[in-house]
Amino acid sequence: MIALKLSLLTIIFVACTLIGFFYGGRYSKRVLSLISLHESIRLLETEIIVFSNPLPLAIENIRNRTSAHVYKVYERILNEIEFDQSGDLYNSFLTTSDYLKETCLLKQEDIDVFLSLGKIIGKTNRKDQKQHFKYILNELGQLIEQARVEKNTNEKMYRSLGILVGLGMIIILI
Amino acid sequence: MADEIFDLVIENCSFDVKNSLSLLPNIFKKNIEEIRLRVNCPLSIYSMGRDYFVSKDGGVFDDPKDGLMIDYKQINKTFQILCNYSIYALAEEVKKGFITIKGGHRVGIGGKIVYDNFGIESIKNISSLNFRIAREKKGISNEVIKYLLRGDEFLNTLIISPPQCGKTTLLRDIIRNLSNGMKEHNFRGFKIGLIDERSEIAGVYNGVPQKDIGVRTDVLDSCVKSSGIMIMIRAMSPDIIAVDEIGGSDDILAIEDATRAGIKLIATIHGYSVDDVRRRKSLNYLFNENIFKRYILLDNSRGVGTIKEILDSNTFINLIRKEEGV
Repeated sequence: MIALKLSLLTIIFVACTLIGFFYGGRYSKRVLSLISLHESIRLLETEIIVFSNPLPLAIENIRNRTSAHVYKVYERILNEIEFDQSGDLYNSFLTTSDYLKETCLLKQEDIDVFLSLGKIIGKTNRKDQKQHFKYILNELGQLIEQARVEKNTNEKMYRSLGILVGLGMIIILI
Repeated sequence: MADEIFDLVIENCSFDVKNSLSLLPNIFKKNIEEIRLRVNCPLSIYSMGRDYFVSKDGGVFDDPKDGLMIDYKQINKTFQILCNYSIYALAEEVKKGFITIKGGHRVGIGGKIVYDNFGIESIKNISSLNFRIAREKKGISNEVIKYLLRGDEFLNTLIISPPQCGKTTLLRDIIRNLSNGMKEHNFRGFKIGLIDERSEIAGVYNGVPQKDIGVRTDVLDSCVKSSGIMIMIRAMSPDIIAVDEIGGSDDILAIEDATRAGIKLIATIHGYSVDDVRRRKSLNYLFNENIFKRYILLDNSRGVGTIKEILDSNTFINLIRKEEGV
């Protein structure tokens, strides 16, 4: 009987702790996703400004070089460009919205900055593209800083909260 | 084959326009020369010597009211597809007012010109697009070549033609024949230096000529004629230099240099007759020095590309009629 009770209490404690870690981990994942996105856009800027590669080729190159966090983002855009042919690149970017929210755990404000890239990319000459990239990279840089602050504050809190709730439930149940 | 060309071209249009054009009757598809998209105007095509308006369901009409209205969005979307979503990569071409697409077809661009300190910087607010479908008609010069040769020597030739009478198509085929050689005329083929300023003759797309311009032809694509002629003289040692639409004083100076270097020439020029062309001051040198030995005159009298006359520059006898015994 005692063994069963101990097992149950252990399960409750582990579950609460894991939930705390899971929620805390979301903040880390957002930071990592934003950093990957920032890095990939920087590479895209090089492809466009320095090499002047056509966008489908530039995105293919980025997809092959970027981290696993955002690999699928560029794969989706590339597929859309190949099959959609609507003449509006923004549509291709829009298809990544759910993935960025649910898998990369980005906030709507992060997603909006990325989607704004879809509105302007490829539509002007190199000089103007450079300005747009500068603006978007700057915006993402600021979001990364905000995300880091949130992560430092909340990640520890959720993790501690998970452990404390677990312990609290054990105390109550004992 | 003509449909394949047409289908390839309309792949570059926005969905509505593509849909409408794909429903065109086959006779129009096969003979289409131009597709025009103008903002807030009906979709129009130029086929079989005149223009028509195209409705949403592919109907062909004379009345503009029946045509599919083109809005700014459709033009913008088409332009994005044309540029492969990469205007920055085609900035130099856009500056010149046209883009060459796969198949060697050319799309003219109209809109607001933006200047910087060095000239035209770009074109924005695109308001019209003109797809010019380049037709390759192999063999049209087979019967012409004999008039342009004296033994195994090529005689400098000027093709004179009004717009849309097929001078570029004829020039391309002459280049192909001169480059490949023709057994029936006992020549193996000449080294041709082609200066394709507007990417119309070879239709170079991503570095590859889309048209058959022969096995001994070197191309300078998108190169200003006058500097292109000089580059060819210095670097490629051609037997013949081919250029389209000469007329500027710089072109004439470069031609002077080429003839001095012993290089033969074939060129085209807008015009209706030799007299019409001769009246232009910038061309005085060509006529005073009798640079061109043959004049080929084209018109539309029996369809696009009708060869009206081939004149000897000394006697001004029409060589075709002379041969026919008229």
